Amino acid sequence: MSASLAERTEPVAIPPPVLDNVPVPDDVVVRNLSIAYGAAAPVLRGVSFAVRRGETVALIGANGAGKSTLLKACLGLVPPGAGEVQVLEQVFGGRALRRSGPREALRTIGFVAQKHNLVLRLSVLSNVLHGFLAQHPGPRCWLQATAPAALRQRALQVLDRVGLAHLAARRADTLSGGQQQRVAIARALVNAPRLIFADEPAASLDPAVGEEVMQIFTRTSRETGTTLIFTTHHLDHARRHAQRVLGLKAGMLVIDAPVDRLQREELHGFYD
Amino acid sequence: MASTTEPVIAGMPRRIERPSALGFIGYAVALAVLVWAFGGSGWSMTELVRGIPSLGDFLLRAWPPRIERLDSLFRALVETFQMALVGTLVGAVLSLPLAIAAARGLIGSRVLAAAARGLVAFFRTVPDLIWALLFVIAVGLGPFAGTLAIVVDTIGFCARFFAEALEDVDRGPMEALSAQGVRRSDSIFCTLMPAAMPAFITTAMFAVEKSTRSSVILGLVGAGGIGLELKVAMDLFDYPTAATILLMIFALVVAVEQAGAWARRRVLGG
Ligand SMILES: Nc1ncnc2c1ncn2[C@@H]1O[C@H](COP(=O)(O)OP(=O)(O)OP(=O)(O)O)[C@@H](O)[C@H]1O
Ligand SMILES: [Mg+2]
Repeated sequence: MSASLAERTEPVAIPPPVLDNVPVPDDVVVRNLSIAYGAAAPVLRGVSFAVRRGETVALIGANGAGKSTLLKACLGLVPPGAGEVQVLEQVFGGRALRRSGPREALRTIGFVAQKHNLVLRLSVLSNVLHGFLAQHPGPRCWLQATAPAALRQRALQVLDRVGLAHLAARRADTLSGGQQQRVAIARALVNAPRLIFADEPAASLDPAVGEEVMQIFTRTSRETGTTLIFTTHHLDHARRHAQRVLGLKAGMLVIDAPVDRLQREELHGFYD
Repeated sequence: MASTTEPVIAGMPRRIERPSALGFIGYAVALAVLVWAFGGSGWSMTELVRGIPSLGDFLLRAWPPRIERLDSLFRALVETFQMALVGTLVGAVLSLPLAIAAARGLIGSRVLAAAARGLVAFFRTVPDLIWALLFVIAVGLGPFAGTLAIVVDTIGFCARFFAEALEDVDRGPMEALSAQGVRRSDSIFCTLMPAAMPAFITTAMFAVEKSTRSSVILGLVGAGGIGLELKVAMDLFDYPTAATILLMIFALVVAVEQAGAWARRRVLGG
């Protein structure tokens, strides 16, 4: 896990501008977003925030606060009930998104879901290669056996970065939960995305590997200017790996602060 | 007693939900329908008992089985199995696209899904013997007509269960891929197909068994296979030959079922 992803795969994003007076575009803009599942009470209530290109943001909140729902709404997996989501200049609003999803923008997104990520009956390498499907559609990337050599090589390199190159040929269901999560992370990184959403990427990992994985994310973000939004229950992960913290409490955004200005008082009572 | 001091928590679900008034009416109607159906089916214990000696008479006249034409009978049996195998294979392959179209929440188009489901239901509800009669008219007497009938019958069976298998697969991996902008068709083939594959294979195995049984019958209308031999033997009161044919069919069906069970164990175990 030595050399960086950036050296091996062409970065597709522009590094974030350093000058303060140059406007940095917003990769994610959420305006007044409310979401309810069916007739139940709303899970998200009037959430608004914006994430600038290249920013790393931690989303925290108690179980059931709505973190996963917010990420899914950003990815067009859950339609917004009210309000609007804009991702990479593509707007998800109302019910239109189900019909004609804005594929183009999504092709440069990496996503690690909280659970049920992998196709368990396929090999680890095949699962990672699925990360290329957005840019290389068609049967060749369905299975590792038929994938182009260059893509197989890149998939193996990214697997090496998460420490699992030696398991490339194994079937995904023979891996431990933490190993499966790392395969999902490799699949999200393999396409050199501009924007990464990761839902509790370190939750099933032991402290050392969790730290390593978070560092892979943040290093990728730093080196390629990738925007990163991750959820976590580890406040120290939020403190050390994010530039900014968003806090959801019962579906409302109650914290939105740069990490260095996040006060102890602000977190006081946050998890009550 | 420690248990009496434990607080009672509200909201314990009932062990068995009490049926509603509508539910009671439902049970009563179901019972009435059963009684009515027994009446209409002419079910009669006395007739059944009276019929047993005639069955015994058939068995006495059929014994011992006649094995003179064993080689030509065996060829007909093999043809039966070949029809079943090819018909099921073609039917199962054709079932895949139909199942994808028919499965809920996969393709989005309600019209297409309803059309696919309707077609599959139509294939299923028309009996295989009728399909065989139609295909005999279309392509003439012989095994090809029977094979086509089995193809249609297999689609009616497989496409339905394939669609249900696809609906049962966890959609998590598919969501993860569509979140990254992967085309719907690619994510169906990458995530749903591998996960549903064991169900597909076991369903197809059942279909082979089912087809073997029906391909025996198809011969009765001249659509190939050993059924024709059986009909001729029965029509000529050649019961010993009929007995041989019945034993051969029995052996074939049991062999196919055993092989199918073994293959299913292998698929589900691996
Ligand atoms: N598919 C769904 N259907 C109905 N309700 C749902 C669904 N998904 C989530 N919910 C509900 O929405 C609320 C928020 O769920 P969500 O998964 O977004 O929380 P979370 O912040 O990610 O929690 P955790 O930390 O446990 O992952 C919960 O009350 C949950 O029960
Ligand atoms: Mg969650």
